[in-house]
Amino acid sequence: MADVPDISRRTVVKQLALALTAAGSGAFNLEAARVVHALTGEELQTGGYIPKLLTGEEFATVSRLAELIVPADAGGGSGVDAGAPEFIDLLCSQNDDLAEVYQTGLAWVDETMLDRTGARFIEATSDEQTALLDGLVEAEGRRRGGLRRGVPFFTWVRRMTVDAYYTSPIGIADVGYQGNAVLSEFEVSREALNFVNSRIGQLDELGNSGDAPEEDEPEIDAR
Amino acid sequence: MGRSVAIQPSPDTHDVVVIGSGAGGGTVAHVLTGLGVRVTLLEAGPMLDPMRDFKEHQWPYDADHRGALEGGERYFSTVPRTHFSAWSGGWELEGEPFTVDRGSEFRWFRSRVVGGRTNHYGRMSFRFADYDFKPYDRDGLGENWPITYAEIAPYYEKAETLIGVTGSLEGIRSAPDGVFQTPPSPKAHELLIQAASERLDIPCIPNRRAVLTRPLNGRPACHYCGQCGRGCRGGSNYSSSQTQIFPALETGLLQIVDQAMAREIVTDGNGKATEVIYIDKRTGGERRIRCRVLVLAASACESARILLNSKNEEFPDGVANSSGVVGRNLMDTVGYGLSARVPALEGMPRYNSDGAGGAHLYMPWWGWEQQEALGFPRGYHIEMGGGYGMPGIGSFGRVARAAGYGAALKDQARKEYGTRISFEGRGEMIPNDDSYCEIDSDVVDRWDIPVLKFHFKWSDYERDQAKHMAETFNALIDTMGGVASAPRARDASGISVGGSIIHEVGTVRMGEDPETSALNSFCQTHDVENLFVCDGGSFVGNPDKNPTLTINALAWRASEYLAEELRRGNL
Repeated sequence: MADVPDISRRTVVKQLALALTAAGSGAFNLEAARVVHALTGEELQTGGYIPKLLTGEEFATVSRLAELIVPADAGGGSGVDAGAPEFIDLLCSQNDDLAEVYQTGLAWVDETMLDRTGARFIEATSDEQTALLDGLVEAEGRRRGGLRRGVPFFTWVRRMTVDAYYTSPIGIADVGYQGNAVLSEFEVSREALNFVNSRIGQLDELGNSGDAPEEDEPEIDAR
Repeated sequence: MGRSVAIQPSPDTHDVVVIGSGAGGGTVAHVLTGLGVRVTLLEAGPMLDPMRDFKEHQWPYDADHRGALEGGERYFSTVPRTHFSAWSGGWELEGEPFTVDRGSEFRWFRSRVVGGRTNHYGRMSFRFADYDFKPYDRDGLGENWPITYAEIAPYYEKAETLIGVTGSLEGIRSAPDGVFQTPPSPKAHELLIQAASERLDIPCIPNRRAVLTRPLNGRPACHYCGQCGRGCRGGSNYSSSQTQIFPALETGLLQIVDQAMAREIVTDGNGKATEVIYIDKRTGGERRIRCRVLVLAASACESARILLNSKNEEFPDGVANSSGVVGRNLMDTVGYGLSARVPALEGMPRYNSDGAGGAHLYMPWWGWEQQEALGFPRGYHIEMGGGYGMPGIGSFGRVARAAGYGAALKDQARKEYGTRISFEGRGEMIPNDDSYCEIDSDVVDRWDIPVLKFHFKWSDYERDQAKHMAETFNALIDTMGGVASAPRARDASGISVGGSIIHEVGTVRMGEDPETSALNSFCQTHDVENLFVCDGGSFVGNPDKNPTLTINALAWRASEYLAEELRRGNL
């Protein structure tokens, strides 16, 4: 990877903040923002991370899980690229309850895979790994089933991997968030305006007489 | 901005001591210093430095916990703090508990810092309607205010002219027009919501928020980053700290004593307040400050607490509480929320929808002439959410659960991002005998100050109103072909917990009769002529309009009266 310039990220962020709030700064300092993105991204991809709480094996297993839960594709990198394993390890190192969730959960993952294949999770084939995750997703919607015990851990590692991904520069770019910018006027783009106006024109067809509500509320927003 | 000076008070008598620096205290400090009156402001939290304290423009990855807080606190808390918001405190303050009576539920949000909750609040700025001041005359419920719309209107105008409020002239009786800046244009999803509301004959108009779209008094116009809740370093939205207190410091007439936790008011045996006893939080030591006039603006419940904790021979039930109403008539706003996925928004070309930090449209109450037919006595307005928000902790939790994992999860996130909308009803609560706060004789805070105990109950008036909100929101969502999220979307079980809307008011109410009220219409206590209460405590009712602008207006009016009384030598 490229050498990180000899300037601390904190300094850059601070300068960005100053640039953004300087009087009369009409144009958004996009370059400064991009530098922050790049620096952060590089920090996350150093590969030299030493886990604070998880063992090397546990960290490797979490990394593989993060890669399976959020795989790299044309729209963006993986959970690992987004720093999910580091995020999980850091928070576990600060919270005994969370550490226990992961230590117990990772042990369960290995035991279950050993029972199924004779290999631990990290050593199993990709097909065997995805078969276990498929089973967990299936067990999620049921009250019983052999894999039911692993569901609470699975939901933790999925939730935190997803959070790590979509709060990273690559995840934010993946969904196409365009804000956190300095504008002189607010306006909806012509394309979006045309789109919504065409939908308004279709309101008669859009309406429903009351579908069954979905099962749950979205989680809290981070604002 | 960001002056860090905290001057220790001299042993002299201070002309006007104000306790609290939020919407009420900030307005008093601004108006009085503008009229040449010296003010000493006690604030229970630290001085604010917007450059240092506000997290404007930070990305979630600027924090290694991404906003989940240390140890993933957000994952474990039922009333989570947020990392990015400009809170200084929140739902729980270490060492400063309060208690809730068995059988009640109540939350109390406190922000200890110069500016208080105005640093991060929603900035919704609605005038009360004319009928809101005479609710008893309308339906026999609650009490009339000792003030009319015509009397307060000039002060709404002064407040709007100073703080800057966006809006449009609509001529709707439930939502009187004010002095408005040009509102920002609607966001794309709001246009769809507006079309749906037109089908249902519900007005949907430009929002009225204290966010500048044009420069005003040296404050720059909004730059549309959408992060008002984090605090605005440039001061483009209203906060009492940046709009009122920092400019008041420039006059040289304002002193701020920060980290000062007021405990008790001392009276002289002849109906005058002479001193405030407070704790200097830096040392934990007790201090006293003498005053000619005292203004409480510590927040409705904190001001009630100070009065109730100030018991002496002259005022055995607490200073200015001969009526016994201090702590009573506690009201919050009725809240009911519903969110939905709107498939019709899938595939919209992405754009920057951050805007002015909140919704650009809202729906004022439309049913004031049909209350009897509706089956509940008072109205509500509807706030809305949606758009392509900055992703954060939990933003894609639902998508993950629905899609499982892997490539499908990412595809689903791309498809659903920006298709969620939400409605929040904000309705009027009618005061009732079961909702009040009092001193808990068994519990003290870390400075040995007795704490508040809350009692709170919604009545059928509020529950029926929340039910109507649910029906309305479902109708709006159905009109757009949306899919509602809440599992019990069609009943009122989702009514908010008391206090959780952070509109607690009414605990030191004003009125014409000193036997049933604590204050006159100038926020002056009936019992102690040199004591004023200029926060939401003075409210007689709690109409569906968010309280801050009315706190500003009443405090402005009280301050002009106070200054004139001082000039005449009456105080």
